[in-house]
Amino acid sequence: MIQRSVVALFLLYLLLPLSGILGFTLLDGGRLTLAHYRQSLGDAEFAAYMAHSLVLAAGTVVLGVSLMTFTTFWVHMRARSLKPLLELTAFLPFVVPAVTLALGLIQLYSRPPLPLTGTATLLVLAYTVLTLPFAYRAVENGLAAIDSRTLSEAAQSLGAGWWRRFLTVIVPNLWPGITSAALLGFALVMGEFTLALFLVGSAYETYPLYLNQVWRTDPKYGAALAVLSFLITWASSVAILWTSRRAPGQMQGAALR
Amino acid sequence: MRRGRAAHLLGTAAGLAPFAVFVTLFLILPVAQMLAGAFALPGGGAGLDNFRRALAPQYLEAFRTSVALSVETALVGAVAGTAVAYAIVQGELRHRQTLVITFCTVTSNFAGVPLAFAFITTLGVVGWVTVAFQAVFHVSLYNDLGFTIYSYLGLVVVYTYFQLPLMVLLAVPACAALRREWQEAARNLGAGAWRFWRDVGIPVLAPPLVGAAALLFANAFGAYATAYSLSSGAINLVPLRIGTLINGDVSFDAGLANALGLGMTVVIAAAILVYQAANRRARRWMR
Repeated sequence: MIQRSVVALFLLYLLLPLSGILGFTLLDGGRLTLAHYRQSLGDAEFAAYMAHSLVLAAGTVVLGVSLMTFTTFWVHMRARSLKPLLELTAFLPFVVPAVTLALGLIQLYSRPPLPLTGTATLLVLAYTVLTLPFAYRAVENGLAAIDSRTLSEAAQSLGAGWWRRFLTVIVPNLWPGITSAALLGFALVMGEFTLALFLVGSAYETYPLYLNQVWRTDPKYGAALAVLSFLITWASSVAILWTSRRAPGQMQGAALR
Repeated sequence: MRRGRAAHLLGTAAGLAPFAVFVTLFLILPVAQMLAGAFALPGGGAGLDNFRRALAPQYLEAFRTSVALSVETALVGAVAGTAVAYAIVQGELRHRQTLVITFCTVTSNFAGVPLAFAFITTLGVVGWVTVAFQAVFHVSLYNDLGFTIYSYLGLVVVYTYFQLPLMVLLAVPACAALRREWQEAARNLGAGAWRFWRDVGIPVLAPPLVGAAALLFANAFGAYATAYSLSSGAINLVPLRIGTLINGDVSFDAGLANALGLGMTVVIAAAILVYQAANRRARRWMR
């Protein structure tokens, strides 16, 4: 009985703020309305900034996942002694809060030779850093589950070259892990606020920055955009659970907070 | 033969180069820049000037507030999260395990600006809970009880929101490691419930739970977006201080920000070390 009440209270607490924001955006003077959601359809700024976030997400996912898949496999096959070092490096972004990463990046890249502050490029590179921990985990778990060496040697004995083996034998076997890492990366970029604020700000405004800005002038519309953000997170989380049948929630780390 | 080995080594290094270059440029160097920058003096040279300024009362206060907020929300999250995890793994709600875990996975990723808005629309001045509370109890949360969602207490309520489901996810495997047979074996050997918890239950559960609490601490300590949109600078937290120092035109002070950032990194690194040490001990019982 006590246990049931604890879990019930817990679920209630987690649903409470969602009830507030849904009521706030869906009710106008006691009448149900979708007007605040529909507002986004005719909003050119929203479309532009959503497109920015999608571009950033695509760039981050492609760069982060391919870099980590290739490197982890390479270490696995040719430099096993470096595995602890790779593991440590991939863990590091966990120890570095977004605000301190931004602090270091701003100082390095606000001047030549690489004046990147204010560009989408720098944001993609910074987001890629944040994807390293879970991308590494996903690929490493995949490699541990398959006998990659035997697979690779079998393919080699059939005359397949290195790249062919990597792309047609190893990658398909790692696909579930790669998919969940990609989805995590996507959800991360679609919700990330801190790095976007400090590294680019209005120079390449993103969807999370926009919803924060809208909130100040039009709270109902801003809140509707926040609900949309919840929906994106929710859909990505469900897709991750569905593809990996594991609980990857904790892997996103502090990046979003 | 020798040439072949050298070529092989060179090939191996070439494959590692993209990752090495990337990590150096965008992770190692930025952190090194912050750490070294903390010791740099405005006119050139090295010294402790930035640290002397970082020890000013308002920054010490920021560290105290950040640590208190992180400790409190980590403890609340750890205790309540463990209770929930225990109930769905060992207790009465085993048949609801998948549902609760799915729910936690989704909600543990709700954070930052949207979460702050959700709480403002619920517990803000005109949030429905605030209004309903007044209607039911004839006491105003804001005017009579002095609560506001924009205060320190408000932050505790909101941070707990992302700590709780994370703790459940971390505590589930720990609770699953406590096997039912042990409880039965202890009972067969004549041990009471208290004896079982003292000699078996707590020693098995403590390391992973302490580790998880350390992770929650780090999670809250580094958080920026949630506090930014809730407090609008009114609450004195280290990440917000750093944000002001690097984003403002007037207040821009990279040296001081670096010193605070170094302090923050030390605190988080300590928490992560506790997490890893606890995890090493915990692994003995995990299967």
